[in-house]
Amino acid sequence: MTTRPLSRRAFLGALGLTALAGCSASVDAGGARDQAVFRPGEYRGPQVRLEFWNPFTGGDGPAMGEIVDRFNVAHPRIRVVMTSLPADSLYTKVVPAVGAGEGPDVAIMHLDQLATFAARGTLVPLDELADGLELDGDDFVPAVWRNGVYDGRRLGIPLDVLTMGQYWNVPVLADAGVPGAIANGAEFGTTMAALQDAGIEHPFWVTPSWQMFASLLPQFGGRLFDETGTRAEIASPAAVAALEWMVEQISSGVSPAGATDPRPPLKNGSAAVLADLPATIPDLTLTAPDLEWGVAPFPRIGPEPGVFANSHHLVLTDQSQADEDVAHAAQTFVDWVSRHSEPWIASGNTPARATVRAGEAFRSSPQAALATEENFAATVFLPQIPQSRVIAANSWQRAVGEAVLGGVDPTEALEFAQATAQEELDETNELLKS
Amino acid sequence: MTQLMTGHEARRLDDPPDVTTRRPLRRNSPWTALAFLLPFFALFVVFVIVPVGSAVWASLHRWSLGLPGRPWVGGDNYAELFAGTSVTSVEFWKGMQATGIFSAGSAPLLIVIPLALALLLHQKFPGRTFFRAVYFAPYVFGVAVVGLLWHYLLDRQLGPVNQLLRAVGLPGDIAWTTTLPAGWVALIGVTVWWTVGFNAVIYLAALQDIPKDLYEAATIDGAGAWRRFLAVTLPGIRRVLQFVVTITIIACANMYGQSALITQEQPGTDTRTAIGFIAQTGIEGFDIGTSSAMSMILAVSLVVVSALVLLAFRKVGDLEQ
Repeated sequence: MTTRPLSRRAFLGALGLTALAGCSASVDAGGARDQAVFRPGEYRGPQVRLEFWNPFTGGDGPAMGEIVDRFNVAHPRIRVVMTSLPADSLYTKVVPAVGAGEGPDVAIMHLDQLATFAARGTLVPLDELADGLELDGDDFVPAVWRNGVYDGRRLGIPLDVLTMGQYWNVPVLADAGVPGAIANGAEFGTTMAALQDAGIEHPFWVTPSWQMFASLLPQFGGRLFDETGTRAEIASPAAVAALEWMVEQISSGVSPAGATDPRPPLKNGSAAVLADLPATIPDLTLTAPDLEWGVAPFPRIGPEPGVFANSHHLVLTDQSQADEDVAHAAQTFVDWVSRHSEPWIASGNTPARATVRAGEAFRSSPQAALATEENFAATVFLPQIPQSRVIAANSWQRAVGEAVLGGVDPTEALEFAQATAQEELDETNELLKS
Repeated sequence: MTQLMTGHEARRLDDPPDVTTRRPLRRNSPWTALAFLLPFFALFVVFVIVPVGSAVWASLHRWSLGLPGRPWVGGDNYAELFAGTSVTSVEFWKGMQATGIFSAGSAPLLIVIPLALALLLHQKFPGRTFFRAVYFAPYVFGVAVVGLLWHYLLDRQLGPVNQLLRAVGLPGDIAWTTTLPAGWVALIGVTVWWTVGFNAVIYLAALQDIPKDLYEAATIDGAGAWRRFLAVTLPGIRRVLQFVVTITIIACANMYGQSALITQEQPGTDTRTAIGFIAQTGIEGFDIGTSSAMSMILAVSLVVVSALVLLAFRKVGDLEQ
């Protein structure tokens, strides 16, 4: 019998080589396109399928589902398939998925994420498309429209605006003899004192909410970064004052220490006032139907107006432009959703378009209280800085956590955050240049 | 004997293999073993060797997902991490330290408690099967279920754990999920509760393999319970013990979900583990090069620890002989 003299070593070696050959294959990022090309009129071509990703996994999911259903009925040639993923998951998957052509054609992204994904070539600029659709910002909340731009290019069409607000238990405040909405720092103090006198031990719970910090920061005259996006200003006296205000609520006993979930105590009556985002609205409606609550803009605690704001933007991915039909259908979808966002009111957010806000559906919604010109003028959006969320997690958001939960001195926490943010900012800017 | 044989076996004995039409299985040829191993080896190559090779390759480049260009930087990523001066490297070593604290706290408990539990469950008593199931039950939950559940149970103000402590007159104001060292106690406690049954089942199988006559002989020689444990039980489960120690250390060092969900890496980022920071750098921050280098450092550390465990067991084995 003859056996071929292939030694065991050679056999294993051959397998190893096959494995190494596999290593060198990898996904390359495609070169980003300059602009999404505008195509006049609604899409009328052959049947086409659009992948639509959004981060609406909570009470806002059904509202967006309703819009998509309506669109699909009105457009038999386009079938939009909606995928809702948790925001973190969406943002981690979208770059490789779009790079491989297997991601979304249209997506919803938070305004503060646009720079990050534009820099990585995932998003395609929409200036020509917005011009063609005659969207010049006239119908939109001005600050939201202005902030959807990075590096001189528009990256999204705003769907809504969401701002930090105050929510309160109406009967509990009435019993304590204090009026509903708190306007400023002095009123905040008297309301808290009255509530504590009425037997609410901790009327307002301070959690490591970076949105609260980002609301207080401009009120004390500070900002996170300079206007060029190259210098961090996180350890300014204003930032220290803002963070100290949060910590003081805990040391004075207004808030308990170590709190992380601020909504349950409002629902069960152990707290009376809450600062939170508009996602609170569908949550309270659904899970605390017997609670009588009110909502108003975040109080002006510091000397200046200011409130943390964000916005869900409709964006087109680079992938959508690879096929002419898909690109045209995606443009049709973005334009239609922007103009027909009434069902979105159920999400608790404020539609970005004045024409939608003018409708009865919005004017009778709880969040109409947040849609005042004064509140819109006070909005402060996180700046368009690539990698801003990673930088934030390692710097200022972490400082908020350390000071509120870990007992670290606010100045010390913010100084460390400043050094960290500056270094990561420099690194990112250098990486983008190279 | 014959009546116990199955039909298949009987037929095989009756008709000797037909050498002319079918070649016999070459039991002694090395190719036979390799051929049988090949299907799994193919999976091993695709899902282990290739990814590890890719990670090594990626760690030698400055590679940020989506950005054009991916220059070869050699060992720069490693040099930066070992220099320990940049934010990324400081945070990485902090994560490694958190992983170390967690592993040092939970691995000994996950080696000793399941062994004690297995010894108990190895006894004969009514309801034994029930208790075996009870201690294994938490292991069937996924990390998401365990994480969310305990995040609420351990909440400082609203959680039932503090309420129970208060009810029995103990300090019931502990911030389990937001302060240190309570956060570590919570993470280690939950992990022990969650995975204790898995190691116990492995120990139990090993205990059942120790011949009963060894215990009888030891008893006749006058050995007490403790002496029997040291002289019969421990040597009898030595191989399994080594296996349990190794996989437990590796599992502890790979902890991520519990701190992401229960403590949410608070306070600040103090309970963020190495894996947590690698995931943040690579998956959220798209820095594939640096995060791959971190993964390699973690992996090599685990190889070293596993080798030390192996050596320690050999040393102890040699001393005994």
